[in-house]
Amino acid sequence: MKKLSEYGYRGSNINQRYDGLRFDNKTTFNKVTDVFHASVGHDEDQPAHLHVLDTNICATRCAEEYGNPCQRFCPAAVYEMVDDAATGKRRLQINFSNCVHCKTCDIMDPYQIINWVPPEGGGGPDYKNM
Amino acid sequence: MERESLEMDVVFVGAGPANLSGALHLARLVREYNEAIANGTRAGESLGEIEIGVIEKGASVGAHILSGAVMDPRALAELMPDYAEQGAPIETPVLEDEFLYLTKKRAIKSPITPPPLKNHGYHIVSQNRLTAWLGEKCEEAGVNIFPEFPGAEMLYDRDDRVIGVRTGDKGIDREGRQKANYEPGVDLFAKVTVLGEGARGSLTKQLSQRLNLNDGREPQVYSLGVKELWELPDDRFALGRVTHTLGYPSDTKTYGGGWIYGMPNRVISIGYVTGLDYGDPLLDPHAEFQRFKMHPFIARLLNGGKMIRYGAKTIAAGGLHAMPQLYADGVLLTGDCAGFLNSQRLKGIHTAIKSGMLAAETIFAALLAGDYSAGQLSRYERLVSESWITPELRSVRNFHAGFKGGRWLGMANAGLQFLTG
Repeated sequence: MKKLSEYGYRGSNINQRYDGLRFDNKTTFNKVTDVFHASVGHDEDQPAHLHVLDTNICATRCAEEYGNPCQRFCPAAVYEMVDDAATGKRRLQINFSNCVHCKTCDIMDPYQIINWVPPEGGGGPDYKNM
Repeated sequence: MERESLEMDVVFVGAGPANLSGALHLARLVREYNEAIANGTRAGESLGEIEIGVIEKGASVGAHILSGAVMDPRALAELMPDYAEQGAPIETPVLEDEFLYLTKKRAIKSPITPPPLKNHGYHIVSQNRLTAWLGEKCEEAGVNIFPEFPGAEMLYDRDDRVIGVRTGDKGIDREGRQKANYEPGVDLFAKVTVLGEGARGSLTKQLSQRLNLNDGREPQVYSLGVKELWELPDDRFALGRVTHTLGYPSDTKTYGGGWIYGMPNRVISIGYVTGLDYGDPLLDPHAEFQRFKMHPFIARLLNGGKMIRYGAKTIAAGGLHAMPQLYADGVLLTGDCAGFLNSQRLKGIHTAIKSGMLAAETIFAALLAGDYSAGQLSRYERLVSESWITPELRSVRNFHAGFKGGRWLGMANAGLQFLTG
């Protein structure tokens, strides 16, 4: 994966590749709706099984260089950059209970600091007829 | 609370097609051997009872299994020649093959289907149902399957020989504290541990780094498949039809392609594969799939239908030269975590099953020899190289790499391979 500047992007709009894309809930769905149809379940009261070794770079270096691509390469809306009310800064929120165990983050993270480990046994998707 | 440990003979990590086939085949080899000793048709000593365990992180066997899928039944027929009579959930033979090139507005049907995408004689399957059925067959054969037990770390002796696997703890809260239901993971000791974790297995990653199993190999390349099941209102997409697409919405620098398979009860499997060696940091594989569905040809097909299931899974697409060393002291690698998938044919179930069977044959020989060293287990790589897997994977070794120069180069490369392969 290239950096935004290397790929020729200008400006800060990280949605520009998909400007025309709408989720009509008939043919197209956002990730959260799709993930609902994977019947994913994880006990929420456990440590996140996506180990991000250094979350300090998310709001700084990664935002600038790649526009936080984890929000895009993850097909299950696990990674989300949010505004932290307490600090007023952006931070990474890991919605690990959405995870469908595809391992894309472990492969794609440009800094190779996401380590996917299995969550508590029994967690994950419940695929039927897939 | 004290950590429990359990001595087994062979532990398989991951209840997918590779490992379940391996466990089943091994149980049968041992049973047949012991029977032959008992009735005097073979000389030697009985192996006695061989304890075979399979651990699986999912809540049930098959819960984490997802594939397209069109299956070449070759390996399943070797594992179980009467698989149909044994109730394998394989009810849909491929009846029609179609290969489409999508421009932004149009779908251009190729007058011929490229030979690697010809699927006559194959079956459209639900891989998660097929896997659940394989799990039942394993249990009938005396294999112990432990769902809800993920492998958390490998166990090594002081010489870095693998001696088993530790399963994950249960009952740890979000702050890392023990809850009332806390149970530490179990140490499963085994003569041979078999990792069949699927693409980018977490234990495979630890093991490969520690024992340098990727030394001298090309880096693995991956693709991500994003899939939905749809119920259509009528028979507009024929049962047994297999459609593959190339072109829109992938940009010309990105490897990508779609599939639509006609399943029973007017259900279709529809999905989109994106090569994870893409360059654009703003690319979103799920959004690529949504765009694929908005193509006029696809949108018309889906109109009035209902999306009923969703899932996503990576596959290892690097082929022969990206495969790690498949063995070390006390351990073997099977299936997708070892890179056995044929990326050109988009098929890895048959090679996964075969890899599991060859692992079983290797372990059986090791049990007879009482030797679980890397030297003994290297027999596995020899069996793989002598099997039909290797010529099949050799013929596609440049396929995905060919797309790195862009789609047109990739298609030219693929076209040459279709002709020469």
